[in-house]
Amino acid sequence: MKKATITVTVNRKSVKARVQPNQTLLSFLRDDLALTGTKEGCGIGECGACTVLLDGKAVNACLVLAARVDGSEVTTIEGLAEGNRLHPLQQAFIAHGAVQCGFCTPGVLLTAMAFLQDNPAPTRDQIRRAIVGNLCRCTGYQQIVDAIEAVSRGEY
Amino acid sequence: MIPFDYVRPRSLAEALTVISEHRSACRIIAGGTDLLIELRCGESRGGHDLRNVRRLLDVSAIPEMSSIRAEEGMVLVGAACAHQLVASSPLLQEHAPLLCQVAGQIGSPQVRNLGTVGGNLANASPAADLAAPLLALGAQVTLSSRSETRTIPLDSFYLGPYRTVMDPDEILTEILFPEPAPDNRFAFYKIGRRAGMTKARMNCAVLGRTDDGAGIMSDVRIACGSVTPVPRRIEMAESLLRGERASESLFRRAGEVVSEEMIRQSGSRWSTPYKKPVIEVMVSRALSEAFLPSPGGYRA
Repeated sequence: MKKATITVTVNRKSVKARVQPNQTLLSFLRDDLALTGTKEGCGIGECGACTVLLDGKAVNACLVLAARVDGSEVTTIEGLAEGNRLHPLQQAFIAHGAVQCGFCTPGVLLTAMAFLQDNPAPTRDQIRRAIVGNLCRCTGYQQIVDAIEAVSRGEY
Repeated sequence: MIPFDYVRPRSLAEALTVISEHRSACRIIAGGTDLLIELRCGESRGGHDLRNVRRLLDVSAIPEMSSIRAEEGMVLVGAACAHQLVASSPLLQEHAPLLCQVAGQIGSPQVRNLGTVGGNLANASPAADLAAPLLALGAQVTLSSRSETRTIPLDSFYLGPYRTVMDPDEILTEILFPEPAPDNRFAFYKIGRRAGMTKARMNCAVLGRTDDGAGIMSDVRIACGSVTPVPRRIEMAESLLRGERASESLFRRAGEVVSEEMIRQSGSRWSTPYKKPVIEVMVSRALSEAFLPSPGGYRA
């Protein structure tokens, strides 16, 4: 296999790297860039634990080839906080008990962030539909929906 | 993951050159929401031998395949358009809201941001959600190779589950259909394990018109997926309805015709005791939702 050279902006920093053509974006982020906040839950795009933003859109990193992101922007969970200042969604998730084991949390936060950017005043039903691609085995989802709704109301 | 080389051209001409050189050793990838799972598992549902794949041809950056437009009474959707683009397209919301509704509930937001119309059709799963509405819309598909371009009706596209008429050097570039009349009504149902993020156990799309006031049905299309071996319009049920007044009892009968056709084409299988009563209700409910007045009002 011929390695591919990619230049990609990850969390606002430009990265140039050589990747195997059959390497997923998930593997590139975790194994090559040591950004282990993005998790592998199922590897087949069903659980959403690997959700990152690709050019602002939520995608399953396990289904994206690293070579594809040449020239693109990727946002991972590590890019949400600014220094020590948590993103409003992160603050809301903590305040509302929307984090238990934390494994689904990076994926849910990024999904929620992209969703609120396009839907600033959602109904609870719309929020539920927005996170349909993110499985949580701990919380039962209520607190997650509460936290996202609270952020949409400008409470954080 | 099997080894392969990867190329992501920025023009259709370049893509056609790649695939003409590598043919069966080349697999097309757009969103990867189906293909990457197959590559990861090392096997393909359609009997395609993935061990022969040496090259992935990524068509997601080809501008000619990523547009949505209307021309001379036809609507043309690039095959590399992601489901989310289709669902939110103002042009399609005006001309083909059925398609927007269906595309907008495929998988999850993450899957919709990657998966494409062309991939949904070319992967040829019997449960592919876009097949039924596109068949109801009378869609055709454009298949391009370096030597020729052909446009064929979607109902001639499928050979069997996960098998299409595509040659190894062809790319599905565009899906096109005549603009439906603005007073067309429609409904789409799918049934599966979850209300979201689920592959359809069966799905059905209905599209058509009634002559106002009389409730007489004209030009009704009923298309189903995972009911017959490949997605199909059920013409026997359509002709039952043509020229008749919309009514629940007529629609129940149409549902029965669909299940009879299902058994005629697929035989009586282990799934039939489940599928028979369920498809009858799905079809009759879809027809009732589309064509009978209800407190919720009509769909436009």
